[in-house]
Amino acid sequence: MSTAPSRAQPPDLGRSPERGTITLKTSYLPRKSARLARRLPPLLAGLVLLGPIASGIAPRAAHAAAWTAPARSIYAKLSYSASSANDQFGFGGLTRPIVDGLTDYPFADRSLYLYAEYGLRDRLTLIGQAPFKRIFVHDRLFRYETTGLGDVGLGARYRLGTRGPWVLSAAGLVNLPTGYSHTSRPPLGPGAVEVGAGLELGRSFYPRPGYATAALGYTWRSSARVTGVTNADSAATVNYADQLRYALETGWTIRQRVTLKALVHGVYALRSGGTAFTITSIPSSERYFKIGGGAACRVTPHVDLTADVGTTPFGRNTAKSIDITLGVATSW
Amino acid sequence: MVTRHRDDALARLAALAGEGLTTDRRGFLRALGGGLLIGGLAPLVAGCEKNIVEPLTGGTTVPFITPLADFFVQNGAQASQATWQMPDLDAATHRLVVDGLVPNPRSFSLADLKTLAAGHEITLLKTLQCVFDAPLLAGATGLSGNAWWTGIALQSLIDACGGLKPGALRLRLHGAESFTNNLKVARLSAPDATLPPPIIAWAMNGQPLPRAHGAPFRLIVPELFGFKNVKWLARVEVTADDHAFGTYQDAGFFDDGTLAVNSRATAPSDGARVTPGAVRVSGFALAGAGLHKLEIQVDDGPWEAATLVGPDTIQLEESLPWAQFEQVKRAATFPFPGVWVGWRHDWTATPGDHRLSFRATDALDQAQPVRDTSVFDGTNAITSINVTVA
Repeated sequence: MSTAPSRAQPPDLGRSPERGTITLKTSYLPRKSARLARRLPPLLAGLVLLGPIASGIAPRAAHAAAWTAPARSIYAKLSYSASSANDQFGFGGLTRPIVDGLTDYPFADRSLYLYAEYGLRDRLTLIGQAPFKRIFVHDRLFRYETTGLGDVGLGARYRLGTRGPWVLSAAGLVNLPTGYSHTSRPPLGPGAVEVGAGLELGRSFYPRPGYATAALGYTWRSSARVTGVTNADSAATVNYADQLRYALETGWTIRQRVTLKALVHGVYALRSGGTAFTITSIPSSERYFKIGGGAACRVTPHVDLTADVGTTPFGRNTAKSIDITLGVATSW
Repeated sequence: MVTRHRDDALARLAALAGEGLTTDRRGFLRALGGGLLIGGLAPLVAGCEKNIVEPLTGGTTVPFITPLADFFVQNGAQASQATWQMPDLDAATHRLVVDGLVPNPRSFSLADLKTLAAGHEITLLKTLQCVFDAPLLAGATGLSGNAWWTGIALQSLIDACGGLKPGALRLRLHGAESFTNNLKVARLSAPDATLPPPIIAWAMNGQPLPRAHGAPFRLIVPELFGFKNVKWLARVEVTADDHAFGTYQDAGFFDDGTLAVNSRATAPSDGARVTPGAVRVSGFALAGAGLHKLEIQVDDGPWEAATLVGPDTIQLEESLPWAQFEQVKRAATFPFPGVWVGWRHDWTATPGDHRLSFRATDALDQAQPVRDTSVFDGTNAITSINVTVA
């Protein structure tokens, strides 16, 4: 890495593969529906959605969420995400092996994600996340392993308004690098500051136990100076492309305990080309479209177990990865 | 009473602030603290970063001629065009247009080129190296590969169009997928009698040029970086414009394109562990001006010359049509300009951690620098590997 991208390579180095998905909470219904929510299947109020859009909270994972948390409520989730790839998408979208002749997943990301939300007010939810990255890549000659703290995200979601079963929110998040080395192969992140903002639209199908969300956002990304591995003076500035993020999601609760969901989401870099995806560096621009689904099971009134799976049917300059995420979430 | 008034005031403030305002400072501080905790701990935890690079092999010996299946593929326009697609040109119908400042512009099919070349076909050795290449970039040889190429001199096409009109200074080269570059007309002939001229090549290692390498034909200029050797060649435009025209030039890369003297070790691998005693260290070196020597330094010791692998040794190890090569016909001195050469050095390894450094010098007495001052003319600083002897 992913990515990528990454190593000073004047234009041509680079890559950021999908680092796994983050399953974020959903759960909070509009306040006007609060009384109704108490009569809903408990799990509907604790739905696990992939969330916030355009915030970069889940690096490369822009998923839909629209409802804010009730005031003084807390939600936290610990996830283990496994992302693996044999192939990559080139700049033109064509698929090719990441390493010729290797089919033992030369790219593997096995990271842990901690995500939390706090309802500061009914309309305002604070968001934070921190990933502990574990990236394992190899070619025919070398094996590379990098572990450590990745980019930290801090943000918020604000409910703009509701109308019947509809809710509209605005979300924003800042992703910050945490001082990891740029000479590690692969690096733990792009080393760039990312600022995202977007709109999230949600609809509850109450009294039926279903929901749908849509989100669209913009992420501004700074440039970063990347130093060479064999020659520390051979540094180059990588200009990361700004991105549009989008997501559509729908879910349905069965027997008031299990929620099944389906989603599509993606990232569209507003500039193409630049540094390329390789297993040891992060690309300066990438595009991908992912589809997937998942399930959340409420095991206690305050604890959910989640499982999500996704694949990447289309992309440019990124890994064609399969992503599996397991999580445990708690709320009170 | 004071307490009651205070509570009343707070309640009125809550009402004025509207829905959801909480007087719970604890909740707010909790949230703020959580955010600060994540941000504040981050730098501390960042020190827990671990990075491991482990060689999976002890190193590899690189053959003089790179097999087609192992030859790197790099496409210059791919990084700059979101819609880039590799051309799939029909050799029977694709034509190379030669126009501009020539009396008789015309186009050539592959069959036309071969007919024109009858009796004057040129086969030459040339190492393709991407200007982005750097040691340990990818695989043993990274973005470098050596092959023998067969085709017709570009000068022959110009002659078939009636020669050059007065004022012609450069050739604008256009690939079928919009990659562009240029070549000064002065280079149509060789600056010295031993250097082969640029050719339009249709064969690689004796096989028809593969699609990924520019089929049905491409430009090959012996001493220049890969970006000067335009693939899927579609047009040669002769112009009086002396501007440094080209896709990479627009991105800041140098126009001259001459291969900078560089080298790398392919055995042992960086980070390898070897046993004490005799260790064969090997690799390859390359220079657009022709290689003069390759030196090795162990830790901070003296620089020692490595043994260059000569053509006799190459011939024993690989069966090549040596006599056909243009360089041989022109009595060029080996190592040839723009053709890599293998080197070998027997090192008496003593226990401990050691750093091996490699420095090549070309025929113009230009040596690899200690630091690379620019990445836009090729990465060619002195390289090193770390080896543990135990």
